[in-house]
This record gives sequence, structure tokens and C-alpha cells, in this order.
Amino acid sequence: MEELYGKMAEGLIAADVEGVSKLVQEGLDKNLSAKEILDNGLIPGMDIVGQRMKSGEMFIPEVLRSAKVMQGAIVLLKPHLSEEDSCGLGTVVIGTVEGDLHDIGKNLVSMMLQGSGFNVVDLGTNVKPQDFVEAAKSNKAHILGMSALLTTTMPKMEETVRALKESGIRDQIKIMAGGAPVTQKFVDDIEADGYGANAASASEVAKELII
Amino acid sequence: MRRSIKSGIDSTAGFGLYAFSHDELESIHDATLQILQDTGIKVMSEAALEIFHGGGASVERFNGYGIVKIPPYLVEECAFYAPRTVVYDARNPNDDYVSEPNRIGFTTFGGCINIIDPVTREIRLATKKDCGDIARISDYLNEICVVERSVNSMDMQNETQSVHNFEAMLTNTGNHIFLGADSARSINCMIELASLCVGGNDIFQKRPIFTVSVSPLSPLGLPGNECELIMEAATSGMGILILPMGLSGGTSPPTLAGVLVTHNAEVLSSIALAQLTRKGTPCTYGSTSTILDLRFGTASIGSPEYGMINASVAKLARYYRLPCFVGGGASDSKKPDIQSGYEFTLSTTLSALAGGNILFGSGVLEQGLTFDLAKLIMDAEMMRMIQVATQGISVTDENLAVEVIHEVGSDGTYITHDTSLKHMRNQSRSNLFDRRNRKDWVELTRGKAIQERAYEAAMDILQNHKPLPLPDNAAREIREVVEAFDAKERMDKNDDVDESKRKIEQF
Ligand code: B1M
Repeated sequence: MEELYGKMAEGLIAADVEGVSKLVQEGLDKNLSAKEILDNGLIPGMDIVGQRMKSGEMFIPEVLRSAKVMQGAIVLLKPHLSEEDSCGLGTVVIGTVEGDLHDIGKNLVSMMLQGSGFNVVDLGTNVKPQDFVEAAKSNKAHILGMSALLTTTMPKMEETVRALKESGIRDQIKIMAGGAPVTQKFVDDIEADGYGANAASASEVAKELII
Repeated sequence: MRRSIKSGIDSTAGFGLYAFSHDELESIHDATLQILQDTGIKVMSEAALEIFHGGGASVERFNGYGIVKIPPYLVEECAFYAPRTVVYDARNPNDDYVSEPNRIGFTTFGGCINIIDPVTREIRLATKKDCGDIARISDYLNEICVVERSVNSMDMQNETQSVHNFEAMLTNTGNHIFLGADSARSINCMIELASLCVGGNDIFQKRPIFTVSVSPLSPLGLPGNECELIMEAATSGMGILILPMGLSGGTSPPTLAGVLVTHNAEVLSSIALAQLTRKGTPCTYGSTSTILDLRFGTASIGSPEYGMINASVAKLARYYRLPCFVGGGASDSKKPDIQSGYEFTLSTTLSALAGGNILFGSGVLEQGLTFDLAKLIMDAEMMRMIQVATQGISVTDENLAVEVIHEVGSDGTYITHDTSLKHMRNQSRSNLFDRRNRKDWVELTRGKAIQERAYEAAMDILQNHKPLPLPDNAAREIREVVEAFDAKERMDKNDDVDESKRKIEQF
């Protein structure tokens, strides 16, 4: 088994679509559960990709290609996953806050999260606090992620946290925030739960938050 | 001996950069026309869609935006309506800046959010006072030709920051001002402030002392707010700076020639909107496009590509005979260190050699997020060196100095010769950069690092430089206008907040 899992990780790093699908199929044929394949093969593989991204060894386009292969593998596994497991590590609702159009960073984070095994619902840019709340509810999100690049739109993050509290679902969800002007201190001040300095650390933090 | 006049010799004034052949520039232009005609541009404002439609572009509407396809003749015609040479009028007429082709000048980077505190050396959020202080230092520095809103007044409420930035700048510099605006309302308030400073709106109309900067949304998008600002500025007779921030490999093609095509399409479509709103609106061709570093995911402005793209944009602007405002001199370093110096020099030199009219980037660190006064002072010294270098070597009979060489021969010395007396002040002069011998250096500076001396110089300027004062009463009047604007925006905002609270409660 270890060997099979090792090969899955290698396949992900090399973004070998066919190779990874074959390995996933092989695992299913050997009666491994979909959850085992995800937890022991694919997710650890993407962890390595994440580390290599952080160290600058892998270029972002390579990482995104690996993430895409990962998503393909999850599609293969989906019919075999229970409803609870089918959103992988969990569901993240993500968006750039109201008044802000910067989305390059948010898109990278959202692709990395998908690649790491999260089910991601991307609300795009200029997302109002109440739209975040609504989407978090309707998608039964585990994590709500906000991005802001302008200091003038950062207060919208706080407003969103407040809106979540007022809607009564604050306790059921973890809140993550990031973007160039956002700091750990700001995240603490607005009583959010996690801060991501870049896409790789965003996925690490997201994983820690849902453990 | 008699030397007669030489007739018809080729001569080059100054060092330059041969970046593209005419054919290559035409290729970029043609590719741009094709994109604007066939791919089109996403316009997120109904009023702007109507203007484009009225001007002869095809408009296809979707939910909340439209795709505008602009025929080549319209693109070229509009680029032609924009004035060729722009004089950037200044509150102090001695500082009017003439941006004819190939004239180069410098300014700071804009829109930073942090500053390294010159006293504590801690990084902190920038304030309105910082915005004014940097304007004052810029006013003092001869190398700076127009003053850019370098940092935002983060201590002021959101929707009013641009107006506060403007107040801080007006009171601290007599130069022409470039800055972004939060809304059409802010532009109107700024016009009121500027009018108070120049002696009335009719004078302001003739001498607009500021330019509003707007940014397209790469790739190929004009957001609603940008359209609103372009139309408002054009209607009120002001000039605009169109400043795309395409990121190669992110929001722009990974190949640099492709970046020039999307960049050009974003600028030309913005110019079209301005000219269709009001023919003759002054448009400054801008750029702060660079690469998205595809390893670290950062908008790298210290990379050589930043210099390459911005020098190329200067050539493109020249091709359209438009004044330009291009990047040069920014840095990714987190401190005013040697990395920031190297990075400043490479991109600024490229953009200067390319003949960019206003090269902006000085004073900035950390991908455009953080400003530093020491870096600004050191950069200004390097700007002076670059100005000298770009002048090139002028080959004339006098400068070839054959007679003088003959006279001095191999036994004499030039230091005592009259011509040295005559030409000595043409030499580049260092001030902060040290050219003395070690002993003198130690005595004079006690070995203090250049950054430290630069912070001291900055503080000294802040204490002693007096910018051209505002006319009597103007300072008080503009304060009142800003306060009234602040109060009005706060009221409107509270209404909005109540509204959104109500919605959340309902939900
Ligand atoms: C949920 O959890 C998480 C976790 C981690 C998260 C996260 C969420 N979100 C992000 N992260 C983290 O992970 C990501 C990946 O590693 C990272 O994301 P980043 O987004 O930081 O990194 C990206 C991968 C690359 N970086 C970027 O994409 C941003 C780069 C800079 C140069 C930038 C760009 C490109 C743009 N801009 Co804008 N822009 C700047 C930026 C300066 C800078 N160096 O940051 C900044 C932010 N902009 C600024 C300004 C002034 C503006 N911009 C504007 C417009 C634009 C463009 C449209 C031209 C373009 C955006 C294109 C797009 N599709 O996104 C305007 C505002 C538009 C609006 N309403 O939003 C305009 C107002 C300019 C104008 N006058 O029109 C400045 C901010 C000023 C302020 N007060 O805050 C600015 C610092 C540049 C400057 N010095 O002027 C991390 O932060």
C-alpha cells in the first residue's frame, strides 16, 4: 500500500493525469476505501506540493496543474465517498470583500485549497457581508475565507464577521482572512480564526482550523 | 588653424535606448487593434457603455457589464484627439512641467499603505501627515518634477481618504499633483479645493493643477469606478492618467510582448472613453505593469522585467505621441538596503533611456506596499546621476578639444587650464554618495551608514523647507471644505450601514 500511496504523491507532483487516475482506480480495485486513498495518498501528495511551492522549488503554474490533477482524482472518488466525506477536507466559501476587485491572490488561494482537498465555493469579487453569510449557510461551509487588498475595504472583513455573529452561525464556522495589507494582528482584532500570508500557508492554516 | 563648420553630420543628443524598430511598434499596434475589435473589452458601467455605443463601438450587454468592441478607426481617431504634449500646470508656475517627447523627470511611487517611521524605524500604517511630509520633501527635491500621492491617509475615514490626501499635498507642494480619487464626488471636492488655491474655478479650468489617476482591471476590463472617474474628469475639463497594473503570468500574458498588447488595449480603450466623453481630454499614457513572480506569487517591481515593460511602454506612448508616466525605480526589498539601490537603478535607467516623461517608483519598498524616506532621498541622488548619464557625450569641436589637447601636450595639466574652470560644474555632483577618500569620509560621517544620513537629510528638509504658501485664507477655506465633505460622507455612510444592518437582520 505504502508504495501505491507513494506513487500517487509522485504522480501529483508530476501532474500526471492518467497515472494518478490509474493509481486511484488500482486502489479502489484493491478494496481501499475512497477515504483512505484521499487521506493517505492524495492529500499527503498535495502537502508535498504545498511545501515545494513555499520553498520556491515548484512554480505556481506547476502547482496549479497538480491541483487540477488532484481535483480530477477527487471526481473519480466522489461516487465512493459518503456525503460527509464528499466535500473532502471540508467546504470553504471564499471571496474578495465588498468594494474590492483584486482577485489574483484570492484565486490562487482558492485553487490551492481545492488542490489540497477542500471543496471550494468561490463567490468572486465585491462580495457583500450578507452574501457571505448567505453562501456560508446554504453551502454548510466549514470555513469562510475573505480576501482584501485595499485598506479601505479591510473594514468589510470586520463587518462580515459581525454579520456572521448576528446570523447566529459564527460558532459553526471558522473564519480566515488574507491579502497584502492584512496581518495576523488584524485577524485577531476582528476576531477571525486564521490568517494566510500566501496561498501555501493559507491551505496549511485551513487544514489546522478544521482539525 | 581654422576649422570650418561641418555640414549635415548625424548627431545624437543624449544616450537613448533603441528598444523596438518601427515595424515592431506597428506590430504591437496592429495586434492591439485586433484585440479591441475582435475580443473586445469588458466595461462595467452602463453610462460608459452608452458613450461607447454612441461613438460607434459595438456593445453586447450581459448581466451588469457589456463587451465593447471598438473598430480600429475609432481607436486611432481617439488616440489622435488626446493632446500630444501636455504641460502639467503647477500651483507654483515656476514648476509647470513640460512633457515633450523624451523629456525625462521623476516622481515617487503611489498608493502605499505602510511607511517605515523615520524616527522609530518601525513599519506602521501611513497617515495624512506622512502624505503631506512626503509631498513636502518631493517639493524640495529638484529631481522630482510632479508630486504623486505616495501614501494614503489611513487615519482618515475610507471614502474621504483621497480628498485628505489632496489637502495634505496642496499645502505641502507647489508642483503639479497626481492622485487617485475615491469617487466622482471626491473629484468635485478636489476641484473645489484646487480652485481655492489658484484663485477661482475659471483659473483652474485654464490651469488644472492636478491629474486624476485611474486603473483598468487587467485583463481587458474597465471597472465601473474607473469609468465613472474618467467620465467625471473629462467632463470637468481635467486630465487623466491611465495606469494599468497588468501582471505578466497572472492577469496578463506570460510573454512580455503579449503584456504590451493587453496593456495597450486597456490604455487605448480608456483613452477612447475619455475622448468620446470630451474631445481633447489630456490623457497621460501610464504603466506600472510588471510580472507576477510565478514562484512566490508576488507582484515583483524590483525585477528586470519591470524596467523592460515600462521602458517599452515609454516607447509605445511615444509612438502615439502621448506624454507618459511609467514605472522606474521601485523595489521588492523590505529595507532601504543595497538590493533596493540596485533595483532602483536598473529599472529607472531603462525607463530614462527610453525617454519616459515621468518615471515613478522612488521611495518605495516591498512590492509597492511600503514607503521609506531614506530611500526617497537616496533615490533622488541616483536620479541626478541618471540625468547626467542620459545627457550623453556631446561631440562638438569645442568638446573634442583638439586645440586644448595640443596646448597641454604631454607635459602640462588640465586642472590649471581655463577650460577646466569653465566646465567643472558640468560634472556630476554627489552629496550623499561618498566620493571622498577614507580619512575624510571617516571624519565627516564617522562611518555612519548612508541610510542614516539619508533619514537625517529627510528630517532636515521637513524642518526647514517652506513650500510656496497658499494664498491668504485658502488654507482655512480648504480646511472647511474638507471638513464639510467629511461630515457629508460620514452621514451618507451611516445611512448605508443602517441599510446593510437592516438587511442582515431581515436575513
Ligand atoms: C481567505 O484566506 C486568505 C488567505 C491568504 C490570502 C487571501 C485570503 N487573499 C490573499 N492571500 C494571500 O495569498 C495570496 C497568494 O500568495 C496573496 O495574495 P496577494 O493578492 O497579496 O498577491 C497576489 C498573488 C499578487 N498581487 C496582486 O495581485 C496585487 C498587486 C498590486 C500591484 C495591485 C494590482 C495588481 C491591481 N490593482 Co491595486 N494593486 C495593489 C497591489 C500591490 C501589491 N504589491 O500587493 C494595491 C493593493 N492596489 C492599490 C490601489 C490604490 C488600487 N488598486 C486598484 C486596482 C488594481 C488592478 C485592477 C489594476 C490590479 C488588480 C487586478 C486583479 N484582477 O486582481 C484600484 C482599486 C480597485 C478596486 N476597487 O479594487 C486602486 C485604488 C488604484 C486606482 N487608483 O484605481 C494599492 C492599495 C492602496 C490601499 N489604500 O490599500 C496597492 C497596494 C498598490 C499601490 N501601491 O498603489 C496573499 O496576500
